[in-house]
Amino acid sequence: MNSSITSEISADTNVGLISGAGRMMVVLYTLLIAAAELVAAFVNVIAGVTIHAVIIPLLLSQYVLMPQVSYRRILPVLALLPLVRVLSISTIIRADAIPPLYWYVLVGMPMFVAIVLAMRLLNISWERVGIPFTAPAFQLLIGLTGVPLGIAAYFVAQPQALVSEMNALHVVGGLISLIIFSAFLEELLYRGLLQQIATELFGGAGFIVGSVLYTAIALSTLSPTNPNGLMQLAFIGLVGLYFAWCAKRTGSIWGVVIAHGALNVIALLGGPVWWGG
Amino acid sequence: MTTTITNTTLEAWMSIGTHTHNLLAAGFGATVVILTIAMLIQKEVTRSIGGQQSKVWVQTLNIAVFPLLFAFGIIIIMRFLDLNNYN
Repeated sequence: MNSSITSEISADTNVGLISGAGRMMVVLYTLLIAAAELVAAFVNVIAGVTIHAVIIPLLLSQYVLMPQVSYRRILPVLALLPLVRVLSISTIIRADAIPPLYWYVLVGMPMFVAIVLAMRLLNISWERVGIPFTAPAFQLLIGLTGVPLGIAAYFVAQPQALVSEMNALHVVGGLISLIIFSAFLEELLYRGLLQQIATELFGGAGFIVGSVLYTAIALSTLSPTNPNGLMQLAFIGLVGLYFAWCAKRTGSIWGVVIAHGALNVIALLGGPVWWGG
Repeated sequence: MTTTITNTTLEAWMSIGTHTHNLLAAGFGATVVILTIAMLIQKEVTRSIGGQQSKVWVQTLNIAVFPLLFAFGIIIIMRFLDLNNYN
């Protein structure tokens, strides 16, 4: 990395808790993201995605143009949330030949690049986003809670099978897709990067801020065509809060990655085959 | 049960074969193309100015530019395959 950029970034890491105005800005952006999700669900999906698309350059430009503001470091991370939605809808609608099981790979690959670039910009190490595998027994215990959560998730969401016919290839592909490109990606983004930055700015309440944002980006689940939308959203919110608390307590995301992976595999891959009839 | 792919994506995908699907695909395609081009222009303009701040601009915009270029590539490939199927 260029030394001049490094010096600017290292100066940027000297951050303290966020000011009152900063808190208001984070709330405002959270509301904007939530509004975009609700517009996509209830009004017009293209309008919702367009709002998301406008938020991205807004956040990134503000990061560069306002170096003195206390909430600056959360802005590039917040930009990753609307980016997920823009990528997920715009690529998948064209990918009608690809089974839904592999959509996560399609969205996950560019999102991993975006997360790494955001970490480099903010000078955040892998250790700080919870990559070290600390307290392995406790992590595995957290991971095991993914089994009952996965069963509950299946009966709350009642999802359709992600592939029309299950075979060994789809099982292996599905495990990679749902564990690496969905569970690991989401945990790295929300419980790793976002929670780390939110904790820098909001102190002990950082994990709650991260969970609120995690729920906000899932608001389109409330779509009128989804009869279980409210239940699903409540489930996502509560599971997000539980995962955030686990990551905060252990300082590692591996337990929640295992739990999230188990949840995804049971609810989306196994559930429709075992209980779908 | 993920936030990466929600009902909105599923509904858009399930409209395949209908007029709505073509409209949505064109709308989302246009959104991504416009956003990508706008951010590439912003990146090149700031790069041409030079200096330390322009480097920060480029690094910051790259967070969205690279993933959007990937989506842009997918859209182009899929559109090309669609056209190929017509012929």
